[in-house]
Amino acid sequence: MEIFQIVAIGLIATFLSVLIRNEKPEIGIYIGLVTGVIIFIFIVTKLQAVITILNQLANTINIDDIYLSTILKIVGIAYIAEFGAQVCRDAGEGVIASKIEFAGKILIMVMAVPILVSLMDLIINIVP
Amino acid sequence: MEIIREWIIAIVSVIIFVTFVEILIPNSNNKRYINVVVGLLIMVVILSPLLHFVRGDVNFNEKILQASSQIDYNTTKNRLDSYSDMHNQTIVTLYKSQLTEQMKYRIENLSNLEVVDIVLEIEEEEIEYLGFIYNAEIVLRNMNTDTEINKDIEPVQIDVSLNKNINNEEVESIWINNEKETIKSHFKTYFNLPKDNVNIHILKDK
Repeated sequence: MEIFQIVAIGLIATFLSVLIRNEKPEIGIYIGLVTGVIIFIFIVTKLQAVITILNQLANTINIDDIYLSTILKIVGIAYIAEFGAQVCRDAGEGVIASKIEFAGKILIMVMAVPILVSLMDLIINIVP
Repeated sequence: MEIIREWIIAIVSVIIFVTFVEILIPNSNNKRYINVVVGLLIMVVILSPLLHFVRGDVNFNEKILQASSQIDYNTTKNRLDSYSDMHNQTIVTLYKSQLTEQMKYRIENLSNLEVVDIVLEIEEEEIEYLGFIYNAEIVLRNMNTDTEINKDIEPVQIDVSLNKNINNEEVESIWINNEKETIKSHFKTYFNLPKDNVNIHILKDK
């Protein structure tokens, strides 16, 4: 099971980081970064599979594909922004992390604008 | 009846889809924003069959694509404008620095004065007159070697007048004034800069 591998990687990295922290704290940060990237790569393939299935499910529903693909893109943006922000925060760069989160928010809002426009149009058309 | 059936299936499917998506959303500040978008989507799904009743078939894909392409167009336009501004700014800065270097080189070749600072006022906005020099403020000072030599030279009194009584005035600034004039005429020839628009200040040695 993959969860054992992921937990093992996490535990080993934590152990190494704790050992090295007193000697060289900067290497502890690198260990944290690399572990984060490894776990993310490990899990991103599974996430990809889930998203593919969700996409197939979305295609069977009688709704315009563009709405659901937008939602999935937004989830992707949220994941990547969160990952980047966490990596920066682990390295002690809280300011850069908040900037990444800010960029993620803006991009999510940009993706939402077409849905918002469509909804407004729908409401205006319905009201006589 | 068939329409109502499809409508109910669509709503239920979207709610299941959204529930699944909510599990996927990372626990961050972005969660609130994603929930807003998901809420908008559910509203669209619930309302769209009503529109089919009221207005018949309306293609929403076209409007969504239009909105997103408009966003893309505006983003690209803003980026191009900003790149263009940056490009112009870089050109003006480079032009100014090259011009300053050239002026410095010419002044130092032409005279025994050292250039301390040159402030140029040039056209930066209008493309037609871009780079036209309006004004130049030049700050100079005597080179150290020359001042040392000049200390040993006695002031010279030159008899240029017929009237002996008013011929005993010491003139110390003739040499400097000539330098100023030479620089101004040189700049008029080479940079097409009127003499009145060149201000030369010479710092005195302590």
